[in-house]
Amino acid sequence: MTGRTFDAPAGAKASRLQNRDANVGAPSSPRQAVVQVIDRAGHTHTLGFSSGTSLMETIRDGGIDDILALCGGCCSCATCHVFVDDTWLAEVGLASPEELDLLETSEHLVAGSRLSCQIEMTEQLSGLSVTIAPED
Amino acid sequence: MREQYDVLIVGGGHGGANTAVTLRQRAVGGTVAIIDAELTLPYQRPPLSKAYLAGALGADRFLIRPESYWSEHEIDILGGRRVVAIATEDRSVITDQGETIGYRNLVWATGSTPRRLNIPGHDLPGVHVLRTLVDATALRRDAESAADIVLIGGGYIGLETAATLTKLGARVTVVESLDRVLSRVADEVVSRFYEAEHRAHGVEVRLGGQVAGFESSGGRLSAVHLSNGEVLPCQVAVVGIGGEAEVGPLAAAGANLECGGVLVDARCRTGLPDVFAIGDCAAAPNPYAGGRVVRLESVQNAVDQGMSVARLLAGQSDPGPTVPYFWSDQYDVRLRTTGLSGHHDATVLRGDPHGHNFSVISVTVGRDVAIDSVNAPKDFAQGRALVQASAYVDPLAIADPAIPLAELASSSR
Repeated sequence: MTGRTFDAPAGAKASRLQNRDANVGAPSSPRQAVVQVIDRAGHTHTLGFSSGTSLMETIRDGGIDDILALCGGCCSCATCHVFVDDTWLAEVGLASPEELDLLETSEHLVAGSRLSCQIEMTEQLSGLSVTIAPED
Repeated sequence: MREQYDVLIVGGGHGGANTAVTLRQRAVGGTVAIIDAELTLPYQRPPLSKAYLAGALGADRFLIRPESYWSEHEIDILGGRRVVAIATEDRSVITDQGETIGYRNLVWATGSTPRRLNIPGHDLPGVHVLRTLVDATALRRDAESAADIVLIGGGYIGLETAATLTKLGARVTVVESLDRVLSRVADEVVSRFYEAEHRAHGVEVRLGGQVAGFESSGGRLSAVHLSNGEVLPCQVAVVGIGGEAEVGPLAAAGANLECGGVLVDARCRTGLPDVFAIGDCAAAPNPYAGGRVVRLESVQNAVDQGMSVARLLAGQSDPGPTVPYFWSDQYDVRLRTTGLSGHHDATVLRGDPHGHNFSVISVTVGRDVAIDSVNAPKDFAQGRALVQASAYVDPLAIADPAIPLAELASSSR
C-alpha cells in the first residue's frame, strides 16, 4: 500500500474532514467510557464511546465490521442485533414495542436481544458487555 | 493513486462503499479504489433530509465507515473527480482531471443527479436541490433565515424535507404536479394519509400545481410562480422532482440502456466485459417484480447489489436479491415498505389510517407482493416473509389487524 488513502486532484480544496465541519450534536463529554463487544468470530473488543451516541455507532466506528446497520439507526431494518449480557439487562433496559416487533423476526431472538442503534450510550453504561448476534 | 486497480468502483455512495467493504469482509485482496465526485468520505444519505438538515446530527455521525477504516483496509478514495469516459478495450477510465486509471473489474455506482426544472430562474440563489452533503449544508444555511419555503415535488425527498423545515419554524408549501403526493411510489391511501399529516402540521399542499417560473429580488429568489398565475412568495425553494441515473459514460461505451439505467443481469453484469452497474444506475430483472426488469432507487437495493458484485468477485455464490425494502421518517410517522408494488391488481387496507397505525397490502393474482406499513413495524417485519414467499393471501384475513401476518405466512405454503 503506497500513497494516501484520500487522494484529491491538485487545486481542489479537498479536505477529507469536510464532513466533520458541522459538529452539531457531537459528543460533549471528553471522559472516555468503554464497552466490551464480542464479535461474530468470538473476539472481544474494548471500545471507547462518547455519551449520546448509539451502541451501533460505537461498534461501527470502533472498527468492528460485523453489523450492516442498513437503515443507519432509525429502527427500520433489524441488522444491528446484539445480545446484552444478562448482568446489564436492567441497566440497558428493554426493547420498545417497535424494536421488539422487528427483533421478533430474527431466528436468534433471546431475552437480552436489542437493536444496538436503539441503545443510547451514557456513562452509566461504561463496562457494558454485548455480543453481536449471528447474521439472520 | 495507482495506474491500475483490481477493482475500480465509480461512486462512493451506499452501493459503491459497500462493494468495497464487502470485498474486504470476504478477504478479497488486491487493489481497490473508489472514485467519487464529492470531497468527502462515503456517508449515508438518508439523514440529509432529516436529522442533518434539522441540525440534530453532525456529519461525522453518519459516515459509512470511520475515517481510519479506508486506509486500514487499503481502499483508496479518489475524491473530487468524475469519470467522463470508459475505454473498455484498454480497460481504463478517463477522469475529468485528465487522468487515465486502469481496472481489472469496474463497478459503476454513481447514483443519480437531481433533475432540475428547465425554466427561467432555476439557478437563482435560494433555489436548491438535495442529494449531497454539500446540498444539504447549503439548504440548511439558507433555510435558517427563510420565513417561507416552497418544496417542488411531493415525493419522499420533498415530503421529508417539508417535515424537517416545518419543524424548524418555516412556513412550507409543497407543490405537486399530480393529483396526489407520493403518486409514483405509494398507494393512494398512503398518499392521502401523508397529505393530511402534512396539512395537520401546517404545511400547505398544492396538488396539480405546475411551476412556471422563479422570481428574483436583489439577485435572490423571492417567489415561485405557478402556471395558474398564482405567486408563492418564498426565500428558499427546493426542487425535489426525482433524479436521473448518471450512466452517460457507460452508454457511450456501448452498454444497453433500460428504464433510465443500464441493463444488467441478476449479478449486475453489464454487457461490457468485467463492467458491473449497481444501485440507481442498474436496471435488473427482479423476482419481486414478477421477473420484470426494474430500476430501484433505494439504499437497500444499492447496498445489496454492491454486496452481490463483491461476492461474485470473491468467487462466492449469491443468495439472490433480498426482499426490497424502503423507509421514510416524517414527523413522528415511520413508513416502512417491503416488496415492490406497481404490478399489483388490488390493495387491501389493514388497520385505520386515522389511528396513525395501518398497512396497505398490494396483491397480484391473490399473491402478496408489497406492504406499505405506517407506524406498524410488526406488519412490516412479518409481512416481509409473506412477500418473500409470494404467499397466497385471503384478503379478508389480511385486512384484519387482529390476525398477525406471521400466522398467514406460516399457513401459506
